[in-house]
Amino acid sequence: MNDMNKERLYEVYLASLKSGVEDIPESEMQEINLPEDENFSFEDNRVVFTEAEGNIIVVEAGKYEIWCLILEDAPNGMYKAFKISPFTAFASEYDLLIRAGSSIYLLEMDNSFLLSSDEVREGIPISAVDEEVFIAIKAQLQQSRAQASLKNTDLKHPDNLFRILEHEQTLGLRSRQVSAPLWIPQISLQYEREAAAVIPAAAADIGVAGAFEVLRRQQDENVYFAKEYTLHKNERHELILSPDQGYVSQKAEVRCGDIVVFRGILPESLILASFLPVSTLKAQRFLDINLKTIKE
Amino acid sequence: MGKMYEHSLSDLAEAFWRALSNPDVLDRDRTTLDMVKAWMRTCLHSKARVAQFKLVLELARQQQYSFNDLNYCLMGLLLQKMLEIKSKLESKRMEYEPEHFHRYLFKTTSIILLKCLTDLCETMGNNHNEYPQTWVDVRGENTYKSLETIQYNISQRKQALLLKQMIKDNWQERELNVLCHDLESGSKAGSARLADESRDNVYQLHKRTRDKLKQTMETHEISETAGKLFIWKYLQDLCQNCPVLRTYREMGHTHTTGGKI
Repeated sequence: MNDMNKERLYEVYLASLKSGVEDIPESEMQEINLPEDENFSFEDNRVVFTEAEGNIIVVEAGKYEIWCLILEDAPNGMYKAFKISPFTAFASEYDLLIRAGSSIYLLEMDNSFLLSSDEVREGIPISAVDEEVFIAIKAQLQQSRAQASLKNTDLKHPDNLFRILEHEQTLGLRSRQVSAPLWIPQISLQYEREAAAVIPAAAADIGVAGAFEVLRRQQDENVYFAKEYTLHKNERHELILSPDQGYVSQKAEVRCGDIVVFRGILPESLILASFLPVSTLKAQRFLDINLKTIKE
Repeated sequence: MGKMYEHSLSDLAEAFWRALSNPDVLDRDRTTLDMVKAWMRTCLHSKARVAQFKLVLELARQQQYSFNDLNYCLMGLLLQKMLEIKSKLESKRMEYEPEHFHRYLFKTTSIILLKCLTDLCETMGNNHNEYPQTWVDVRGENTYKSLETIQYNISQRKQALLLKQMIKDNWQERELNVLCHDLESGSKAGSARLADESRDNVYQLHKRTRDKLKQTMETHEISETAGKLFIWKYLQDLCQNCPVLRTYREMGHTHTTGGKI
């Protein structure tokens, strides 16, 4: 799809996220005229719904309608679900294209969350994947994702804006899983696609002498102190944000630049990245992290 | 529920349900078809969908697609996808009071319409088959799309109709007669066309005409899928208006009625 059509499709996508002010008066409605002498015929392609797993449902979460595939049971009567989207033209290396009935959807492998059984029951079922596709999806989710062939790190490009908005819709739901790494666009869409371009030192060859220097400084570079939180790395090299004690259990937002990456009750710590081989100071500068409490 | 046209929204919901219960009714009951159109019109102009619908109309206008074709494809896609979940809708119909069910049906239609509008928009952008190789595709082994589904792909439909027009305008009657014989000879009733030609000649004529069809498609950049759609859906219509010629030779002939499969 060329860039102009992609821009137009992005407009349609944006419009799908917003409700109009009110229904259009009947007099202003576009007439639905059909071609003469046309008839209709349909494929007998009924989808088979299960109790929950494999169903595609639409749930309401705040101001958004979230389309998702129910994957499996999770502890405490919850279900693990993956965000899906009808906008297949925006698919990237983080997605699967899946068939459900006569439709193709995009399944976002990096956009999963937990739903309660009530939320699943109240959701509107709109399709279901068949057993063969369901097994293939589960297998793909176990594998590491494909390497990106495109190096699109421009966060203002429609492809990346789409991805950011898809994650914004599920932010509240994803924030329920405090032990999972946060989704941070600067990491997923920039660093993981072209590390050297976004953090030059990250991929530079520092040489043997440089390595000793790094070891000397490592103690200092593994911690970054801000007024509201501390950034540090644990033994698994995960980048951790630990809010100061006064912020723990408060409702807050964590932003990277102007993008909210967490909104909810602050736990003792949040995982920002599974692996980011730069100092915490560089991570702070690159991600431009800030934390603030929010009122109910 | 409010009044729409001369019918209440509940009346429209019931008509839509009638169509889902027996889609053939759309081709023989004008009133039900009109009510289904009114139902779709109302859902498209709801708060949730009107902005996307307007953008899709604008895109169709810019890319010179016919609005009637767009409506036809939209309605076909909607009904196809709703039919696929009929078992779930049936269980909700049993579970809910009629008015509650009508609201549920409205909400579901509105959601499914988003997928239909997106499909139309992506098809008009003509991006299909341009998926980057890095994507993992788990659409299943059976990626075959039936012609019933393809007929609601607005881009393929436009190409198939263009092919129909090209043949109608530019082909000689005796060439179309061969194509019709090719189509009709596969049917139970057979074909009265080319009855005076030998079997070998018929074979050669079929081959030559198929080559010409292929050439016409290449000249006008018509996809193979659209070609199949033309043969499945529109060739029969051309044949019904094409006189039955017993031979390919150019000579006076007696017009008889067109063959029918």
